[in-house]
Amino acid sequence: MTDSNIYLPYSVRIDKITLEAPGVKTFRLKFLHEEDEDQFDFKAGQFGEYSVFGVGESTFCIASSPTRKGYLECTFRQTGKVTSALANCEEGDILGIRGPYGNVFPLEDWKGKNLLFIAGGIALPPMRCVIWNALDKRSDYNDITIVYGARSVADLVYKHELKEWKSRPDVKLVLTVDPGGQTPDWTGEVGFVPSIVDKVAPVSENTIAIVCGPPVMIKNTFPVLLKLGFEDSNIYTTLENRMKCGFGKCGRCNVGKVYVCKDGPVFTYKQLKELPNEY
Amino acid sequence: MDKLQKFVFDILTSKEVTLVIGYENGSANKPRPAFIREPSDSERLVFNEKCVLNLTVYLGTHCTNNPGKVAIFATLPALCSILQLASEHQIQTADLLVIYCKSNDEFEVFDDINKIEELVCKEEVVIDSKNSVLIETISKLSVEERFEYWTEQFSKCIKCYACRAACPLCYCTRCTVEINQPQWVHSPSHALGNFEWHIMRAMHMAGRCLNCDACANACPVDIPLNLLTKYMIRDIKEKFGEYTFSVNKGNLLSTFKPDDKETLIR
Amino acid sequence: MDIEKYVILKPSVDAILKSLLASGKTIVAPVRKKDAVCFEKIDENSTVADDFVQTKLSLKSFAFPRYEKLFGFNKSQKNVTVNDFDFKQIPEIYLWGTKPCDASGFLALNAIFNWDFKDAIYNARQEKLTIITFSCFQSDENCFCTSVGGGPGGTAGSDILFTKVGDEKYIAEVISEKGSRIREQFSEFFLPTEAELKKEQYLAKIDQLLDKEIIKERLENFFESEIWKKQSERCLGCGACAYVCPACGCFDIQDEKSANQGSRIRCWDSCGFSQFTVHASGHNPRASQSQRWRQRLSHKFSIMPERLNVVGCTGCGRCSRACPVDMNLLEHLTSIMKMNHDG
Repeated sequence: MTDSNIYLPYSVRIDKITLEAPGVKTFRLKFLHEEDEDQFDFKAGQFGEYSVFGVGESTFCIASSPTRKGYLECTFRQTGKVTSALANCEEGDILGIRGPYGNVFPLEDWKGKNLLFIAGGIALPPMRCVIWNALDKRSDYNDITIVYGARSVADLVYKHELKEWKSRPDVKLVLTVDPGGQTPDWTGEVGFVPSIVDKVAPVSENTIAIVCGPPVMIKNTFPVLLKLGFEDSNIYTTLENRMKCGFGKCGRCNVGKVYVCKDGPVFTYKQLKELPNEY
Repeated sequence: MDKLQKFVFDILTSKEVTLVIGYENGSANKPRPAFIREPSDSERLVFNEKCVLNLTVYLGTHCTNNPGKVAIFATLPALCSILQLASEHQIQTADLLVIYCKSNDEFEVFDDINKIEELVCKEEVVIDSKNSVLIETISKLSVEERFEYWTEQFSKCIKCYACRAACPLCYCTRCTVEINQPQWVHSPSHALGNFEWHIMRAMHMAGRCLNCDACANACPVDIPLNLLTKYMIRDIKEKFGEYTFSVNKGNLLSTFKPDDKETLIR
Repeated sequence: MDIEKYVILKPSVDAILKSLLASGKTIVAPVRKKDAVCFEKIDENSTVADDFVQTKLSLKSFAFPRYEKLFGFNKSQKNVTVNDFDFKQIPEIYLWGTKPCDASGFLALNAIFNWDFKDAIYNARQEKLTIITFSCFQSDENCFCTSVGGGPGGTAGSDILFTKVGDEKYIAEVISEKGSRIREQFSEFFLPTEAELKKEQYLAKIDQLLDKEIIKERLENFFESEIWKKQSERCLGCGACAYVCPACGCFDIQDEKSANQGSRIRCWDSCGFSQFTVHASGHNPRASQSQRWRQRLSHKFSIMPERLNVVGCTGCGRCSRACPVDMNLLEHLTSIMKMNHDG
């Protein structure tokens, strides 16, 4: 059997659309053919190339957990050509997906440890996959803490799930909005995510920190974590870069010798520090 | 050191300018652009009949952050591009010293854009005989034959955009082909994509083309791109009676005056 | 397989070409057109050029075309049907009269297109190519194949290599299975090798001027050096160098559609273009030409050797010849060799 066409996407149908925040939507996608879902065997951290046939492809992480079968989810903000076309899609429309690509969060290595998830704004989607993956295997891990912030209350994504996480006794959820982003009935924290992490002062011993967010948030969170005693090899993050192929051939996404689509998107802070300053 | 090199040496030493964009000898003794900042490097500079590359293509990128004045070697088409770029508000002529190189040992220095315009107005933009003959020949072909000719020429095009990169008047930081909302021009180098690109670019050059041949000289697959723009120069000369460059008078095709002739509108 | 050496007479080489043409095979060979030589499909009336240093364009388009329709699709209401690439329509092509630096370019592309994920479309085209190379007896100042592990008589990437030794004779080296099939088909022409014939005597003299290990090390250790800015100052940021290069494989993916039908196209792209790495947000990690120049060098001489075990350059010199502003790669690499610890 000849190798198959690696550019050919699987066909998926939009099962459900959720408006998360202004300009941000979540699509629940179902494979048209069951055998495709079996082949698309992904792990937390990996991404896909999502197609609108006739418009193009866009790169997003897979926002649902591999522990939950029967569907895939992605969350995106309307930014450019393809995401604008996606934003105009309706339930029942057919999209394409290629993947899974990229490396994974090493959840096996994290068994028995505390997990600290820190996310900002639209960067909760890549974390959501690994959060649910950990929660679905709750007994494998010790304490789970989630610190999540957005510019304003309206910009918080997965509002429904935040409620669910808040209500769980085995999860500590700290929500925050930027100063000025709170509503009169807001009961969460007010402050930028790095300062809230500092305030929460999570224990660093036996803890893995996973940080995803806008570059400025990540830049300011790393020093806080180091101050709290985290080792740079125990701090994980994800990188984004312009991608087209997703599998290391189009020549676009590399940072020095490291290809974000193959060696990433998951990196430790230690690995990040070794990268040349070009991302 | 010859006269030109000595002049550059002096203006760099006195710090009248901090950067000189000129020509130096490159591979196989073909001239190439040179960026001179040290007085001692002025010995690298040359000027001869092979120096046809239009250096004004560097004026945007290299002048913006340059501390101090910039001097540039200019041929006659380059003088035209300085006027055109100034009229399109792309360069600050106050920080520019123009060294009009007429021949191996003759040059004239301008620091006043109006004097450049005076000189350029006296020179008619003339299409050389070789290309004139080609334009005549192709114009006489039938529409089908002409389409066949250009189909064959454009089939060679690899969409490298060297023509765009070498043209001083293609200065858009985000070119039409790089816009995808909407995708005005097809990116791939198939027949449609190539026709769209070349015709669109030629139209963007209407009334602005400097007749400098930078596009055709840059093309790695020898497509006679300059025929398209030279044809338009000829066309505009016939229809408007003139083809000049001016900072003061405004651009021929993009300036409307109430007393403009309207006989071309049928 | 081990390389098998034979001797073959000139009339026999001509006869092989004639026979392949007569049997309907598609042969692409260099043909002189005005001042330049181009590779194109030939017929029995064509004259194959053999007295030239190099063509303008490489042969990579026969495995990695300028644009490639990856698949098609039909959209109707809420339905999309996808039509996969038709692997059966790929033609068999003989590349006759290639130079060693053209053939070795395929090794770089093979590595890129098979890195973990195998590009079946590229592989299908590449497998249908039979590459019959002729050694170089002349070169120009832009050639530097011997500095990147190749040579005017290099066998890498070829199926058969002919080296002219005098007016009427060639050394024939059968390098691969495809080459063996030709030798078997025309076995009467392939005569026993003559031990006293030394190929090296008949090749162009191209001195090795560079050490690719040193270049790799410089690129890795001098990321922040001013040299990248100095070298790229005159670079116009076009794609001429990347597109003429036999080892450049970077691409874009574009969808095209008309009414309800469309296709996804893979087309050539260049890391030299200003928008190559720009994010939808507007952020551009390689916003300056000097960063893009550094990337071009690093990809070819540091990243590809490190990750794919192949140098991304065959020393053919096409980039230098095609560049409108004389970004002479050999000259730049020589400057890089001369860098000291101050950068």
